[in-house]
Amino acid sequence: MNYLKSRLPSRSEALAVFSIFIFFVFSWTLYRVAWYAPSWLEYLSLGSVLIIIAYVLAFALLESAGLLALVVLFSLFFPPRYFKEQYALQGSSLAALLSIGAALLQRKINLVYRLELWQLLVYPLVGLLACIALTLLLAFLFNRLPLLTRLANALRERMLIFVYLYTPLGLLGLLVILARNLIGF
Amino acid sequence: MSPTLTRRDFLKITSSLALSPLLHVIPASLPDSSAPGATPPNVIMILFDALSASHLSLYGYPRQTSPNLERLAARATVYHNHHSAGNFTTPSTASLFTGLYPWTHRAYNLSSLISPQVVPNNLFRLLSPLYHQAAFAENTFADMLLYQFQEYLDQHEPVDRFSLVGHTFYDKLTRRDAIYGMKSLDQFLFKREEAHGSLAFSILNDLTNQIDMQLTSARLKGLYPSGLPRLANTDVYFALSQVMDGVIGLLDGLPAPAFTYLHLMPPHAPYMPARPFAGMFADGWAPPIKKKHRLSPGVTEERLNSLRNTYDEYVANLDAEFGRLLDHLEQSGLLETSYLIFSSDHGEIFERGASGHSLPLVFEPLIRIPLLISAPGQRQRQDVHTLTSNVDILPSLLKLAGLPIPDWCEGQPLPASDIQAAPSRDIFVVEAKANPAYEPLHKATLALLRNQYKLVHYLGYKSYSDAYEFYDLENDPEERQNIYPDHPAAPELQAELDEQLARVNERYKK
Repeated sequence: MNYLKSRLPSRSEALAVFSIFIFFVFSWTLYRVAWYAPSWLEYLSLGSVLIIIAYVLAFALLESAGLLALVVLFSLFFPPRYFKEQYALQGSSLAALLSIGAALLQRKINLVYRLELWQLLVYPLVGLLACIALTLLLAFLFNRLPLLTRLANALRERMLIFVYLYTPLGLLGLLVILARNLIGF
Repeated sequence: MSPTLTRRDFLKITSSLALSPLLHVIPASLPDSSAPGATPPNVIMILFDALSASHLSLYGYPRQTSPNLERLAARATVYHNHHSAGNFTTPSTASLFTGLYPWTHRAYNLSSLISPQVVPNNLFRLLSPLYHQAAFAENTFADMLLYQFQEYLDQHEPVDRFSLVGHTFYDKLTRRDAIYGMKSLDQFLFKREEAHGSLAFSILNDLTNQIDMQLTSARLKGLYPSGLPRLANTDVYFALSQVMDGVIGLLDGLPAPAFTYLHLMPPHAPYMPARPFAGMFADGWAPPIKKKHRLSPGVTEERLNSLRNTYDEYVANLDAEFGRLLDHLEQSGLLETSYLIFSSDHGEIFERGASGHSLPLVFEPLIRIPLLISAPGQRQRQDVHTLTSNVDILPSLLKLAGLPIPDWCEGQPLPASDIQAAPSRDIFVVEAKANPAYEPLHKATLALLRNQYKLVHYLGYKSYSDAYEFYDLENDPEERQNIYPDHPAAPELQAELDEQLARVNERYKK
């Protein structure tokens, strides 16, 4: 148990990674909402659209938390010197790169429906291997390039603001859903 | 079991006491339903999505696409001029449920909802005192409308109930929030074939679904050589035979009297016929080419022919499965105690450079749909050629059940024969998916059908604004000759359509 605890990130480290995910996940979702909301408003009342947005925001919060959990799980497979020592920095960088990758893939999402079975099995595996390689590369770069480390740290610290901006929105969405489904609001 | 009489039970008992009007439509061979404790016949309503009457051999299509439907026709009333009030699922199904035209119920946008003011005016509320009501729709747009009537349904099966692979999210939520769940989860966060609202989990969902589908598809390659059929707008895949088995099981398990609404996906795109139907119409046949319409996307004739072939094969496939259902209904005796209503929500087009139905067009292949009604114990075929609309289904079912037809209903009870039909009747078709729901209609395609004439008004399209077309369907059933404005009947129909448009728009003027 103590061993596991020692491998897990501290609260501040986890928050740093979470801030990156929350920024990308919420920004992407809200960008898509802005795309869709005008069409919803063509046939739904404002109240209905707000309930839909509540579902979307609550999901974005859960998705951010889920992604953080995946990174935490992923980090457990690495020796501490390759991940744990610079958890906030490496985790944040990995989170940013994964999110950017996901956003780029979203723009070509139709390709997923055209893949052969072998491609569907091999490509995620390649993705996982790329993540491992990326993690090792980041560990190497952050150890060797202090300027890059400083720059990344400065960026990471500024991203924390998004936790305080987006988390309340997600919680509000979650509250609305709970209120509707539990007390019939 | 609790001996307490519920409100619903009480209503059912009291309503069954008022069943005497049913007698005039029930054939004499049936047991006397006015006897104490007698129950009204079941009503089984089965719709196949996007099934055009123009592609059924039952209605004269040269390919043998519907032998089993012809078998049913031998003991049913066949409506030859039945039209949908819209050209895609949402408006047309909403019209069927409400007996109102799309410009009244306002559910004419893609995946939209019936106006809250109109929601109480629905089939399920009106029939609820009389029947156990069960519904199963494989089309999510139709299913969403069913959720608007949730409180009147005794049984509402999930859209993926009889599917092989994949899932929807909205029907796993509480029923109260299913519509919001569909809008947020299924049609936004995990929406198929478009950048999803969810950044990362949607990709994982896509990957796992696709792997699952490909593995199942490989397993069923012998049955579905070109891939598994899919529920439109979802990642849910099915085998039609399995769905039909599920439907048979569902019907067997219902208490009598039951009103069952079944809305099955085929032959809606993607067209995926099973063996031995796949490839059966690769015979080189094609109907004469029609001139491309100005609002058509311009699909090539070669592509249209290929799509038409596969669609026809899929139609033959569903007909065979319907034949299995028909056999079961005959063998189980359900056909003797039930009204069986066979129809569709809208048609499909493969001409004039247009394919499918997501189009601003209302040519006959898109709006003329099959309608067959087999009454309990019916042995003779009856043919009705009078113009009818799917807004007529609601008043017909009410009449059948001996219930009064409400004033707000825009349909009329279906005539049992041409002799019974009203001499002249106007029916309307409204296509307005690009028009905001609660604004006057300014971008739409509207049609008025009266006797053999059809007037179409294209409203607000950039390249074809405020244009009219007029066809004489008796002398030109293929709608080749636009005779507007020369025909003497055209001005009268135009005045009527313009007046109706002004009337419906008046309500939404700010």
